[in-house]
Amino acid sequence: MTEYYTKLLQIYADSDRVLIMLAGVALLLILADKLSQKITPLIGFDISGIVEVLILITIIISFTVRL
Amino acid sequence: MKRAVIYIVILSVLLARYITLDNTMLWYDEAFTANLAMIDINKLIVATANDVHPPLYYLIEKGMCAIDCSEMGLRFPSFLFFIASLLMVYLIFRDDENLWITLLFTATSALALRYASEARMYTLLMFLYLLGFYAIKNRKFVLLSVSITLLLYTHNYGIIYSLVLFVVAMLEEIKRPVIAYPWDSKDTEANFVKLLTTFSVPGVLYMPWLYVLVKQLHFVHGTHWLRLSLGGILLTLQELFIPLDFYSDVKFAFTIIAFIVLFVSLRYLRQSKMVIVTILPILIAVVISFYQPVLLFRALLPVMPFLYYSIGRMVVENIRKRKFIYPALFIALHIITCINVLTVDERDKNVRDIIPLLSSQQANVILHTNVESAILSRYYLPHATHYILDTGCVEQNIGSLSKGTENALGLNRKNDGQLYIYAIGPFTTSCEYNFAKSYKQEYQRVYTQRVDLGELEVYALH
Repeated sequence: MTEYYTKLLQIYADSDRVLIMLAGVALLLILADKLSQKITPLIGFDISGIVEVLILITIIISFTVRL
Repeated sequence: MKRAVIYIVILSVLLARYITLDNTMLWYDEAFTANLAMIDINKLIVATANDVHPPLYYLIEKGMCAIDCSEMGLRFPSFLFFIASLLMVYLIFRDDENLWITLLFTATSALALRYASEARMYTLLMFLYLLGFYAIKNRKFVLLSVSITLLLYTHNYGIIYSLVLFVVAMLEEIKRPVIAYPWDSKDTEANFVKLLTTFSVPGVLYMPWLYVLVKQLHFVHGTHWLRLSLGGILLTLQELFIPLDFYSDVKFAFTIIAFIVLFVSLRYLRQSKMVIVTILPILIAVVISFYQPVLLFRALLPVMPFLYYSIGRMVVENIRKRKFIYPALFIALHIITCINVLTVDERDKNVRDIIPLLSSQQANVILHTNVESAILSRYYLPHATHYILDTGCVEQNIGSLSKGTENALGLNRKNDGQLYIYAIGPFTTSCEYNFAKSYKQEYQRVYTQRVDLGELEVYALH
């Protein structure tokens, strides 16, 4: 997994692109969290906890990436 | 109980900041302040007029230097302005339920703590912006006029902040009735004449420096001004939360956390007034950058208390809803960056390496290949005369001064003296290195010392 991210970073070697990618990841996670809150009452099953775990996993994985 | 804990944390952090004020040697920008503080006032004004900032902060440092010109003394005014800013945060948010959390986050902010220990004008800028906002909130027109005038003479970003305060003040007046109800005081009426006078006085007082500013636009160059791009804007936002000397191994992960916290918190600004004081300065800086790059994270320090207000609301409201992910991420980011800033023990590796080596030589004249080396050495080695060699190279390092500033500082580009000690290496670009290699043939090598980032070569005149 770390190798995958490191390769991804090599593609985004330019620091501008890395920052845009990180901001994009942050926005996607927030959006997923918002959506999960909207969807939960519709499906009758609380999925917001799953999204929170997803956020945590993403951040834990990102700790293994070196710039 | 909660307040007592917050008091203790704030006082502990302030004490830690005070104790560590002189943990690091000065870096280039601070050494430039020190150089200005050591010359007489006339020369200080000339040197400042030929550089890129207004003179107020340098005049304060001039006064401070007369008492104590050590690293501690030079950084002390910034520390005092940081404490004054916290006092303003207290006064502005006194009636708000999020007062304590805003105060706590501002007092422990990595960016604010960094500039509370730097001999530069950024905490003064923050204090004056908060003072202006406080004056608008309490309709203290004279105080507003004073704060705007001082803002304009502190930093060129003062123009942006004055404009933002003008917009906020106008919106506050528009909300008021044109004619007060009979049972209300006359003071509740909107008073646009008074408001315009309040902003006109600083405008008139700023006129002399406005002429200088137009000239200064030619000098605004150097690597610290970011080019305008989406990445550049994001980097500026990232640097508001992640310190420059942050642990590089975890910078990637903490950048994601910083962006999550920032994006989530923006919607908690809510009141239009808060949105304006927080977002508008950044937007104006971005717009100006289309014509002249001016985007610089440290000049955005004044918006941080307002940003922390929205983050405080985000933390409190999420905890109330028993949603802990965002508060936990922010608190982790905040604690670690705060510890990082308080424990940093070097701001410029070059200074730490080169100055002790130069100090060990008994030179009366030191020739430098660039301004950065000259400015730093001039503060730490005041007994020697310092000259900058005309290398003909474009200076790509941090420092770049106009001829007017160099002359006012006495850093003339000529040679004189009996014994020359002349350093190349750590501060040098390849162009300067090649120039130095040809130049040094006139001298006899007496000493070579390898340092981490290059070599220090010491030569005596034949």
